[in-house]
Amino acid sequence: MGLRPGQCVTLVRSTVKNAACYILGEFQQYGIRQDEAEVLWVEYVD
Amino acid sequence: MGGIRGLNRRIALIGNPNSGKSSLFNQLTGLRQKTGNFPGVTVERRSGAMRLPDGQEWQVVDFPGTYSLYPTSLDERVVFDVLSNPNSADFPDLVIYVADALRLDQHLLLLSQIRDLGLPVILALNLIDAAADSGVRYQTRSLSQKLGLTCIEVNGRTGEGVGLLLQQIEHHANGKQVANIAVKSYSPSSVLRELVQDIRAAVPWVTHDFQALILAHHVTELTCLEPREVVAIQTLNAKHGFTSLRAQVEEIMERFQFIDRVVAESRNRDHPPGRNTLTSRIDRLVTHVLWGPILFVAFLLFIFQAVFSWATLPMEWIERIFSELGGAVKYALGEGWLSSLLADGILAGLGGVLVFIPQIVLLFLLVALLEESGYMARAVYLFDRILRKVGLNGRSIVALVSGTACAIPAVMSTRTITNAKERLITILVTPFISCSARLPVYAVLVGLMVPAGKVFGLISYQALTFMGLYVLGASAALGGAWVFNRLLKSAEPGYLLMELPDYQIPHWRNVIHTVWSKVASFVREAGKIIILISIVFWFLASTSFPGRMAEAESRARIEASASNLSETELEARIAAYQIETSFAGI
Repeated sequence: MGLRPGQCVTLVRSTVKNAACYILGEFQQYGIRQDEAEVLWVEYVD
Repeated sequence: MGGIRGLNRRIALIGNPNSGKSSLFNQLTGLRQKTGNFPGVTVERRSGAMRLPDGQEWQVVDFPGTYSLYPTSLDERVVFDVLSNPNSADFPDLVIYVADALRLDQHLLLLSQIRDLGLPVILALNLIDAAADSGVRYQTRSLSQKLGLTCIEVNGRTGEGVGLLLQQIEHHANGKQVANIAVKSYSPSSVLRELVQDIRAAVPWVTHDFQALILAHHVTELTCLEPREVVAIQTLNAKHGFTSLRAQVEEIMERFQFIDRVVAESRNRDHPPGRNTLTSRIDRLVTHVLWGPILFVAFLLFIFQAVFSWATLPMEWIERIFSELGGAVKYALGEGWLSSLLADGILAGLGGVLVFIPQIVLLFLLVALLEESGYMARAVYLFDRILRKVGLNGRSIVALVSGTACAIPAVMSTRTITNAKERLITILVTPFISCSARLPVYAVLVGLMVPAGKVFGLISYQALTFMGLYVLGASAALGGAWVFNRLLKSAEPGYLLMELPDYQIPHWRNVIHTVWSKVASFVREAGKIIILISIVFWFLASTSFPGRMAEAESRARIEASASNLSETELEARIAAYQIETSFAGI
C-alpha cells in the first residue's frame, strides 16, 4: 500500500474520532483510518 | 513463454499507482489515455500501438498501478491475473517498469517480484524532475548494475528520455540486448524451497521458482489452473504447513533489505529528506476538519456558478448563430418542406446540442483541474468518515464526483475500493448523481422557472437552484447507500490507506484532451439522439390531417384582422395554431 515495513512516519493530523489520520513518510503523505493505523503501528518513537 | 512472438509483440507498462504510467503510455503510443494526480486513475488495462525507430510495431498495454503481486483490489488484480498466467492473451514479451524516482525504494518491491517471474524488464525512472527538485539524483549505471537490468531516466510528461527508451526496446526486439542478469533479492526458506520444487513437479508449465510460490499463495483465486492442479497445490500447501501471510511478510522484509541497499548505494542526496512544504501548507487548510469540507462545498458552488453564469454569453452566441443560419437557409431555399426540415429540424436540433457545449466544457474543465491538481485524493481522505457511516468508502467520492460527468467511468472507478460491499453500494448509488446528460434538462428548467438575480450580488439564484438539484442527487445517493448498508451484510473489513500525492500544476495538454474527448463524446452520443428527436418533432409539428393546417392558418388570420395584430404577431399566432393542430399538438 505504499508504506514499507520499518518505515518511520509522522502523525501530522488526527482529526475527530473515527476520522482518517494524515501521516507523513519520506517524501509521501498518506491518509489512513485510525483503526488501520492501530494495526500498523508497532512501535512509537517519541 | 515471454519471448518475442512474431507480429504480436507486447510491452506491459507496470508500476505502482501514480507513478506516471499513463503519461508514458501517451508518449509511447501518441494516444491520450486519461491521466490524473491521484492513485487509481487507470482501473483497467488499455492498449495502443507503438512504432519503433526501425519501423517495428509493438502493442503497448497500460496496466492499473499495483504495489505488489499480492493484490488487494480489483484494479490491482488485473496485473496479477496477467503476469501469473503465461497463456494469457496479454502476457507481455517485455515489461517497462515505471517507477517514481523520488520514491524509488517503495516502488522497487513490485519490480523485484516481476524480475523473479523471469520476465525481461527495462526500468523507466520517471518523474526525475520532481526528484531533482527535492535534491535526489541517481547514478543510473550503478542502479542498472545492482538491479541487473537496463535503467533509463524518463519524464512521461515532457517526453524527455523517451527516445532512449525506444532505442533500448529496439535493442531488445532485435535480440541485441543480453537477457536481464539474475539478481537475488529474495531467497525462500528451506521449507518454502521444498514446497516450490514439489509445485514445479506437479505443475509442469511453471518455469520459475517464484512463479510456483505465487501459485501457492493464490491457488484458490487463479483461473489459469486446472482443477487437478488446484487440488495438487492445496495438498502440497497443507503438507508443507504453508501460511500465506507469514510467507508474504518474510518475503517483503527480505526484498526491502535488498532494495534499501541498492537505493542507498545508487542515490545522491543534496539534502536530507523533508516535507514538501507547499503541499504541506496547502493541506493544512484543505484537509482541516472544519475548513476542508467548507472548501469542498465552496468548490462545488464555484463549479455550478461557473456552469450556469459564465456559460450564458457563449450559449447566446451559439443560439444566435443557429437562428441566423436557419433564417438564411429559409431565405435561400424559399418556403417549403425542405427548407423547413433543414432550418426547423436539422439546424434546430444541431443548435440544441451545441448550445450546451459551454456548460459541458466548464463542468469537465473544472472536474479535470481537481483531478490533475491532486485535490481528489484529499476529498477521499476528508469524506471517508462521513461516507463510512452510510456504508461507503472515502474512495467512493471519486465515483460520486466523476458521476457528475458520466456514470459509466464513475462506476469503473469503484474498482479501487477493496471491500466488496462498499464497492457494490457505490456502484448502486452512483447513478443517483446528476450526470452531464441531465445538465441540458436542468438548464432549460432552471432558466424557465427561476428568476434572474443574485444572492449578496455574488451567486445567482439560478446557480443556487442548479446546485440544489445536484445536492438532491447527492442526498439520494447517500440515502440510498444508507438503505443498502442496512440490507447488505458483510464481515469483510474495509480499508482506506492511500497515498496523498503532492499537489502539481495541472498539465494543460492533459486537461484540454480530457475536456475535448468528453465534449466530443457528448456531441456524438447525446447529439445523434437530440437531432433525431428534433427531426421527428419537426415532422410531427409540421404535419396534420389533410386540410387542418390550412384551416388553422385561416382561423389565425381571421382573428388577427379582428384584433388588428401586427405582421409578426400574426406569424406567431399562425405558428401557435398550427402546432396545436399538428400531430405534435394533438
